[in-house]
Amino acid sequence: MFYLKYSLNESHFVISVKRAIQILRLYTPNRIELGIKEIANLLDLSTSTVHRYVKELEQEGFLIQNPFTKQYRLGFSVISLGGIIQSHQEIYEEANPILENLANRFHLPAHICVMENNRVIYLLRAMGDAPTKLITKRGRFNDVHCTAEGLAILAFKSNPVIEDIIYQPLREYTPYTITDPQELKTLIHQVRYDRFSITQDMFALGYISLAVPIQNYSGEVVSSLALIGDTNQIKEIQYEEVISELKNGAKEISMMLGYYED
Amino acid sequence: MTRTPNSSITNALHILKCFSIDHPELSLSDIANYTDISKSTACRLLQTLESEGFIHQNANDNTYRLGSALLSLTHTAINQFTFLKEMTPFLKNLTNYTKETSYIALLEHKDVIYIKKEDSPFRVQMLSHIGRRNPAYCTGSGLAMLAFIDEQTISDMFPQQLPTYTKHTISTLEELQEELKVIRKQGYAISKGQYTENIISIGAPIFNTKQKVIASITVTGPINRIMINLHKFIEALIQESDKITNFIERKEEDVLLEIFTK
Repeated sequence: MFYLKYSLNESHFVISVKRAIQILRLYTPNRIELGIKEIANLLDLSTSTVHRYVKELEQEGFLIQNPFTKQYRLGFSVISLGGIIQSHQEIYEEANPILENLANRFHLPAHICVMENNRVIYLLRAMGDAPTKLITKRGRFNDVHCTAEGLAILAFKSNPVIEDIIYQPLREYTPYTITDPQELKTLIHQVRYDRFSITQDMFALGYISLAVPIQNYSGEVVSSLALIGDTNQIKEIQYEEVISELKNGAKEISMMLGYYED
Repeated sequence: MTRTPNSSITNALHILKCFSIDHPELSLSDIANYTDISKSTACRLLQTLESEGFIHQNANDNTYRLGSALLSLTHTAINQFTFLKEMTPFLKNLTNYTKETSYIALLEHKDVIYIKKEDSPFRVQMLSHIGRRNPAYCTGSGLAMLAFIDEQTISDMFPQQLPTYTKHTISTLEELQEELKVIRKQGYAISKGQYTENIISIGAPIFNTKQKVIASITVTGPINRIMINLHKFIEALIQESDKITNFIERKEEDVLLEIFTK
C-alpha cells in the first residue's frame, strides 16, 4: 500500500532523538573527543540535558567514555552500523542526479562501476541525451585491463591483486589493447598518479572511456565514475574539462559513502 | 536496574541496531517486532531518524534501511584509531605471503568487530568487511582474544549452551573453556568451519604493555586453500602479531585501545 508521507515538519519529530543525533554529528576526524560542557556549548543545551542524552548514547554503545580524560568518543555501535551500509549498492542510487548531469553535459552515458571477481561491473548508468550505441550493460562484466573504468579502480588495489590480473593471459580486443604486463604496470602507475584514466579504442574501436576513482568512508577506492561512449562525441581539447567534472562528481559520491577529505 | 519504559533516544538507537547484514531492509512491522515498540511510536522515531539522514525509506515498497549519513560517522569512529594506518604493512605482509585476506579485529563484549583488512587477490567474500560484527567464540580472531581473558570472566560472559551456526560450532561453555586453554598454550586460535562451512580463520592475539589482550590479527579463507599451508601460515601470523605487539609497546596507543576492549 502506498501512502503519502507526512509532511515532515519539525513538530512531528522527536526532539530528544534529533538532539542525540546532533551530538553524534559533532564528531569529525578533527574532533574525536568531546566533553559534556563542550557539547552543551556547541548545541546550546543545558549540561544536565546533554548529560542525560550522552548516558543513553553510551548505554547503547554509540559513545564511549575515555576514563583518562572523562570525555566521550564515538563507540562501537557506530562502526558496526557503517559496516551494514557498506555492503549496500543502493546507496549509489542517490548518485543518479550526478550521473544525469554528466551524461547530459558531455553527451556520453555516465556509469558507476565496481570491480568484482577481477572484472569490472556496471552498477548504475545514466544515458543522457545523445543517441549512442552502448558497449556496457548494467550488471554485465567487462575486462579490467582494457577499460578506463576498470583501471581507475585497479590502480588503487594492492600489488598482489594487480599482479594477479596483469599476469593472466589477457585478451586482445583491438590492435590497441595493452596485454603486456610491464606496459600495463606503467599505465597503472600513471593512473594512480593522475587519479584518472582515459582509454581509447582499447576495448572497442571508436569508443572512449574516461574514468576517475570513488572512495568510501575507510578511504578505500571502491568504484569508479566513468563516461563511456562514441569517441566522436568528444574532442581531445575537452578531456581536461571532462576529467575535472568527473572528479567533482566522484568527490560528491565519495562523500555520500562517508569519505572525508582530511 | 531501571524499570521505567525506554526513552525515545534508547528506542531510536534500538531501531538503528535492528538492521544487520542479513536484514539490511526492514518493514515497519519488522522494526516494531524486533524492538518491541508500537508501530505508531516506531513510525515517528523513523521519521525523526530519516530527517537526520540516519534512515532511508525506499519509495517503492516502503521498507527502511540505514541512511548514508551514518557512514561519515563510521569514518570518524574508525579513524580515531590512529594506529590503524600503521597496521597496513603488517597486514600487507601477511596477505602477500598467504594470498588470503587478513584483518585486525577488536573485541566488544561477546563480538569481534573487524576494523582493518587487506583483501586477498582471490575472490573476496563479504564475510568480514570493516565494521562487521561476528560472534567471538566462533571465529579465529575472537577466540584468540577470549583465550587471554580470565576463565571466570568467560564463564560470566557466556551461557552454558551456545548458539550453533554449523555442525562444527563450539556448543557449550565447557567445550569453549577447554578450547581456550589450548589456544592460551599454543598462542593462536583456529576456527575451522565453526561459523561458516568451508571457511577457516586463524587468529593471534595482540597485547599492550600490561600484557593485556587488546586486539587480534587474523588470516582467513577457504579451508581447502589454507589447510595445505597451515603451518607456514600460522608461523607467518604469529610473526606479524609479535611485530604489532612490539610496535604498540613503543606507542601510547594502548591506553586508548584498552578503553575499547572491555
